Amino acid sequence: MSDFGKLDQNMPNPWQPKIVAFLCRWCSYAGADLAGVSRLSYPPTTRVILVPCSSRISSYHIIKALMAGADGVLVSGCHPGDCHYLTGNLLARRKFILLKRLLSYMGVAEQRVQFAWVSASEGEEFAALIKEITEKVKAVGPFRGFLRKDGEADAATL
Amino acid sequence: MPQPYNTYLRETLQTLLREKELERWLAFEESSLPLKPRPVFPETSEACDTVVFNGFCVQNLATYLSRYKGRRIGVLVKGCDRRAIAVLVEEKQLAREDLFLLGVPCPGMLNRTQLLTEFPGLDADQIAEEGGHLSLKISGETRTLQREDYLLPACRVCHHRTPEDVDALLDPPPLDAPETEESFATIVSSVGEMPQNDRAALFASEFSRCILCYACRNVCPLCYCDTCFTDSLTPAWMTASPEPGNIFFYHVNRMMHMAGRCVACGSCEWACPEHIQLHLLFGKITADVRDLFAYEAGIDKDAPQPLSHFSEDDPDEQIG
Repeated sequence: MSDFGKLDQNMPNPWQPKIVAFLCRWCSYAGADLAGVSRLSYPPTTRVILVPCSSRISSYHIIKALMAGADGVLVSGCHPGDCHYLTGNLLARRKFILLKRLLSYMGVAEQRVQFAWVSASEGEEFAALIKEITEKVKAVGPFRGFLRKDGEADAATL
Repeated sequence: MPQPYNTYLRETLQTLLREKELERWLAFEESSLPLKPRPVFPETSEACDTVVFNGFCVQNLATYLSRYKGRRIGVLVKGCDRRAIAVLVEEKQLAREDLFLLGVPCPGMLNRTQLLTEFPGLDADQIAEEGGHLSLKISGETRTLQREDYLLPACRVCHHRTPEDVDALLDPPPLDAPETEESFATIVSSVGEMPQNDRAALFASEFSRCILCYACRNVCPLCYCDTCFTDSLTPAWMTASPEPGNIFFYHVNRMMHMAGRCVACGSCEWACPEHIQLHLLFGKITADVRDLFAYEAGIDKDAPQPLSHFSEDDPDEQIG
């Protein structure tokens, strides 16, 4: 950890956000794969977690990611109508809308938790999406809303 | 509540206990704490003699019904108890035909904490509830208060006070108390309009008092999972250590479980030993479900629960 810290200090903008990306196996993960094999470059800020379907993700996983030190969370699945399991993303969508509204109401910056639909053929869109959400999370800065090893909880960074 | 009303209530319970061959009633009696009636489960006519109903019978009695599955039980239900039972029946936790529901048109429940803060040492004998007023007898003097100024937040915005689809309804109602025009949307939008930092600070300050005692979960009629996510060890989502992360995790996920199910009875807020304003949370989720999916738990009995269902036309507003 300390070596990376030294390296960071010599760089013009040392802090890079950590973003946990939950990607659906059939669309978004394949989209990320396509971005990779197409040799597209995008910021190395995401930690990808493969899930069978976007509806596998509940509010547990999203808040737990923030508790575990993520600065942002991305959940991505197939476009509505294209779900491999036919209706998974449509069920997930209702859950996500409610969660997004609730978190925003509780003062969590909208940039922290984001949802996006990315299909298997959208490699370029995936790279653009990661650039965009990285910029958005950078804009709100590090997340210290919960108690972390490196300091006290700070509600102003929710 | 006037004493004749309690006499009338007891006689009704005794008659129905006999006529309907009920095993027992679920109702309220005075407890050792002022203005905090407790649930009572009388099995005999004589045991019904302690039953009361007044503006402090907040707790949702549907919470206790899981103990008596498959037995013939009578329940004294307010509007919110009836709605909670409707949700439990819909979720196949209870059989409607096992229950005998005696509806009481609820006048809206009173805020015990607010009254005890303003009038320390107040006791049930000193309060008379009459129509839209409260008369307090304090050291020989009579104070008259507006009832609606002392309603609990959830009761102030309740529009389903009289239970529907019950086996018998107490007639006349205990009080003729007017409803207000407000709804949860009113309360929630006043918070929603605050700047983001102020909202974060508001909830941080509320949650800073949370000790994760889970009283709000235990009192909730609709929290019936055998293993709650709070107690799950594989995976261990959270611990009961009251740190901001655990507290936030607990409240957000509890609210997500209540989405489309919460009947806004306010029992959780009433049970909270730290007086956390939980109506700001369950009010938000109730208002959002109503706004997005036009659904009210325990009222729209024929419609499927919103989170176990979908529509292709659902809003995509906040999702990219």
